[in-house]
Amino acid sequence: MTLLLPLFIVLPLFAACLAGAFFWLKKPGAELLTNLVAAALFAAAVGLYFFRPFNTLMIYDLSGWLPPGGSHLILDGLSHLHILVANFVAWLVALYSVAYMRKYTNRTGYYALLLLLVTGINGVILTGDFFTLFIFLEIAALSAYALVAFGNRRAEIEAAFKYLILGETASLFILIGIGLVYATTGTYDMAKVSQSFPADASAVKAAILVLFLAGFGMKAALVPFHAWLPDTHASAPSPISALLSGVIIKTLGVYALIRILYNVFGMTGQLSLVLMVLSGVTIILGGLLSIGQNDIKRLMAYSSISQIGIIVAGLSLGSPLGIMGGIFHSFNHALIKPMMFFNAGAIYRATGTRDIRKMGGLFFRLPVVSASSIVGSLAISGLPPFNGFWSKMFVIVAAAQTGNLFLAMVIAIGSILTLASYLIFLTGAIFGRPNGEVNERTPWLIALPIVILAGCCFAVGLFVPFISQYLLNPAVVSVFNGTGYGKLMGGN
Amino acid sequence: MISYLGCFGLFMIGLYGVMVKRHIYKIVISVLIMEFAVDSFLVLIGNRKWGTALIVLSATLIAAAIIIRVQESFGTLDADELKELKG
Amino acid sequence: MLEGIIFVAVICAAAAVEAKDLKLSTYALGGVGACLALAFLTFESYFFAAFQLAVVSAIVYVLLLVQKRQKIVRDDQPRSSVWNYLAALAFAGFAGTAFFPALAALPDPLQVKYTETLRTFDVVGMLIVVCVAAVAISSLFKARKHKDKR
Repeated sequence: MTLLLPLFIVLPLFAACLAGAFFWLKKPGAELLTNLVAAALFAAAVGLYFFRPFNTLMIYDLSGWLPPGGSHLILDGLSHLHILVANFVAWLVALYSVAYMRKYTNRTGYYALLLLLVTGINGVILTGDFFTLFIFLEIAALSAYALVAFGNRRAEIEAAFKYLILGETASLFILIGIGLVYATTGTYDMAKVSQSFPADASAVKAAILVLFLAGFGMKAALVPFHAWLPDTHASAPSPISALLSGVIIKTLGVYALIRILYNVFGMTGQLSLVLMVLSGVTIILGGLLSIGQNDIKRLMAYSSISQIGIIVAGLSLGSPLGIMGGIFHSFNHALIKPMMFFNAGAIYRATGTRDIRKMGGLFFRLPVVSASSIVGSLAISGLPPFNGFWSKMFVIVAAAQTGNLFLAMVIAIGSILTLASYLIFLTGAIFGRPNGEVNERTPWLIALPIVILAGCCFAVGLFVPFISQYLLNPAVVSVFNGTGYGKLMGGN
Repeated sequence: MISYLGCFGLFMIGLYGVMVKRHIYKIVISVLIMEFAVDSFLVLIGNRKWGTALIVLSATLIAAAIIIRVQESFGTLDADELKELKG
Repeated sequence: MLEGIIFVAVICAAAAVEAKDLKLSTYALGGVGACLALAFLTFESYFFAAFQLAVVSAIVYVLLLVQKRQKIVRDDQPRSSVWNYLAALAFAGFAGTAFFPALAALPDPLQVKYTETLRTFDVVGMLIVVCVAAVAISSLFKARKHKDKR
């Protein structure tokens, strides 16, 4: 069953080539193809849970069919959870795009780019090798630049330009870091690096960590490096905003950072402190900035920054509960935020505006969207019984347990700020006096992914023990295994 | 050692260009200088096949397309004049 | 030899960033890329030197094409604010203190003997990146018209 691993990269790539062929032949069909491929990948990600024995690694050796060199694809608890979430969200995005993208021309190109983006994301998650990581990072990033610019109006172009410059700078920081790793150990293989990084090269190690922190921090939009996020999330087409916020900042940023910090170099007290400070600033600043926004997508984008802060805060604590809380919050955010961006897209379609001041009283006019907006707002602010409550509670409890009461307080304040900003959205847009026009009812193809995600928010909140046993614990085990990751690979 | 310092200097010149220059074309050129600096660093430390030239080329192509679109939609190439998104 | 090549690259880069004439700036960028090709040559990777040179010429060609199409001639923007210069300076200082110890610990480039090079898999990956760029450009130009304006 290890053969399923390269499938996650080869299938979307092959489909992207097919979509490219459709593009040249000017034939439709890319829509259906993308949906089928995304659904198949999600099914494969679920299916792999039945084939991978609990808490074991699945390794696919690429050197067999592409000599020379020993690149691996690795599936452990952490990458499995991420591949599941990424392909689930990608599938819903493909579903949502069918109706939403009708208003755009050149849809075949859109689907080709979307498939390439999925290729890059899956590659980043599965690879066990630094250079391959960089290449898939670039595949994902370059297609993301083009997708952000897809509407081709002024706002989109400006956002894409900013994203391009900052994203390329981040990629280059990462590449220098990778170069330094190679110069010290002579290999790109993560497992080998974790085993053979010389103990006396502390100056080089510090430089590598600074570079990775800056590079992946920029991809994850931690606070000093967050400038690109609100612009891109607000300007991109709504399905792409959902994918950016739900998947890309987490896989390209947080997942890669955690994999490298925990499994390759090993977490240290200093590093943990740096991450804690960064995440604390991120939580507060993201929350404060989200309150003043009138554009609903911008409000959600700033709230994404705040949530990324909570995820990193959980992961920086270094205790099992903290790591579990961080990963769980990343999982929940990947369910809630795409739903909120889908809602924003549906509201934009129906009212023609994203400005809260120009809308109001949508509750009876757009019932599905309004109901799921309420669910999403409560879930992301951490109110019971939704999923967000549990993950935030885990992180806060873990922070208190490890003696970081200040961080626990910061997270609680951040939650209040998030709640405040979403209440502004709810009272302004969903409730209140009817304001503005509603031109269409929500089509069922747009409502379906929203309803699925809202159902997931409920279900995850209700079945926390199940989720934590089968999805989160294996991920925590692989993170907590630290540099033992390399030993598990059999030292190869 | 001196060649590493040279690479570092090359990267810093690129970063200076990105941070200080206002002309979008110049900013793109500065990013490309940074890419070349990193690529030559990789050559120095032993990655002496392929390099990342193809990735630099792809980034150039996309940047070129964005330059054209910026000029068409904003009518200027001054990065400080891109003020559509604020707040 | 190697130091000389890098030194020329630094001069070219400075010219590329500071030149007012953007054609000169583009050619200077080509010079930086050509120096990189020379560095490949120093290590006797003749094919990759030629490859690098070909790619750099392609990059310069694309940039000149954009210049010609859009009639971009000179960089006459006024200077940016002092704060940008200060930020660049602060960043350079920070990077210097972080990286000089690391650079000193690296092996001499002429003595590096790592044999592992890029795998076929990565080369395939880089070709995919070029495909991404191709699709991206087509989307940047062809998706411009909306069926409705909003």
